[in-house]
Amino acid sequence: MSADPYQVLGVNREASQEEIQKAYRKLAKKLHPDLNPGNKKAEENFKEVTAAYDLLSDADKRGRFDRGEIDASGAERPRQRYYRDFAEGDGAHVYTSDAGFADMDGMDDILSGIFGERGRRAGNFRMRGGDVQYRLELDFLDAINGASRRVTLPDGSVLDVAIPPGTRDGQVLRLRGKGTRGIGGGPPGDALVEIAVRPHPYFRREGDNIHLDLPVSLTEAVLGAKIKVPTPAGAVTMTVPKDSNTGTVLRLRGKGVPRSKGARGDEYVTLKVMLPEKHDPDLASFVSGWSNKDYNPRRGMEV
Amino acid sequence: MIDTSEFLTHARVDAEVLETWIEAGWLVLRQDPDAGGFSDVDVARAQLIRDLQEDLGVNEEGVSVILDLIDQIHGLRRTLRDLISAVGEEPETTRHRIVTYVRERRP
Repeated sequence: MSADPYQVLGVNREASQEEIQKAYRKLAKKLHPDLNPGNKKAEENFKEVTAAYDLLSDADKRGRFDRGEIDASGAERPRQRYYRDFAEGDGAHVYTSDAGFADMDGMDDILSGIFGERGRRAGNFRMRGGDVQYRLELDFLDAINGASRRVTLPDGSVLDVAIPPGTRDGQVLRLRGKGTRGIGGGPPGDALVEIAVRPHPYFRREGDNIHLDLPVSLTEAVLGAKIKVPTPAGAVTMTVPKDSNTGTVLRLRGKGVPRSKGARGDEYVTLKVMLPEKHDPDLASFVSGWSNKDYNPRRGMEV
Repeated sequence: MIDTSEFLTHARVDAEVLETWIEAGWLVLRQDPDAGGFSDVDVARAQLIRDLQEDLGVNEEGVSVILDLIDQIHGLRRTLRDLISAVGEEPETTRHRIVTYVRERRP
């Protein structure tokens, strides 16, 4: 071979290594003999393209070629043997697949007549097993904190599903190799488990944060207090500052949903001041004598 | 037949890679591992897999698709070749009828 390697690859002399590789891959995908099993000419062209690439992809060789120290001849790779040279031989029967005509009407009869058994079965057809889909309902806290669930499949087998902490509603867990078996030695498919998270009576999830409406008493709101607050990981103590109000939002840093690498989102606590459930004569008489009893929280509403 | 260590040398892959190829169904071990387990076909097939991944930049899913299609093509080619030689054994008039039938259906 003595054609100009730049011309062979269709790149200019200033082309970068990336451009050369890109040009080579484009040509090689067209010309690789195993992708052209019936085309003998592809092999000649592929050899030329490979030799050009071997020369230009090596910075040292490329420099020497550019300076005229070497020419493009003698750069060919030792001829490798291609898969196509074996593929129709007897040794390749474990790979060769008859799936390409398995659906042809009448072919079965004709082929079994001509070739005996081989024509009738679908050769050594290999196929990955199918994916199977399941739906799994989880309690809110199990999804947040992680859990392990044993699922019994329709065929009676059991599947242990590890629910990672922080699993979201609608998330699909992929269990590799737990789908249906492969055919002819092909690998099994995967089990795809879609998670449905049941709502919680008082926690709400937004992204990695937990939101909670927390009732506090009038006393706690006005005077401030240390109170216990539920979080997904258990109760914690929180300080309600004095003069808190309904709608005041307090953040509990790191008490939200676990993320990867040990980090967690936050819990946002929205206070809701609650008066006693029953009529309280003491409170009534206190409020009647309250100096600020004409305070109007609806000032902004023009009523 | 060649054994595993010979195969790894010829195919220039390491044992871990071979494991994943077998798991992916790209290579199939022969039933009788004492007889060697591999043959020249497997070496050539390994070379093809390496060409696809290293020279052509094909990813794992791509290799599976390509191998599957190549296997189908060779199944078709082999059957077609056998059919053609079977037709060649027929008397002239039968051959002519079959060739005409096929030619008329070509676009």
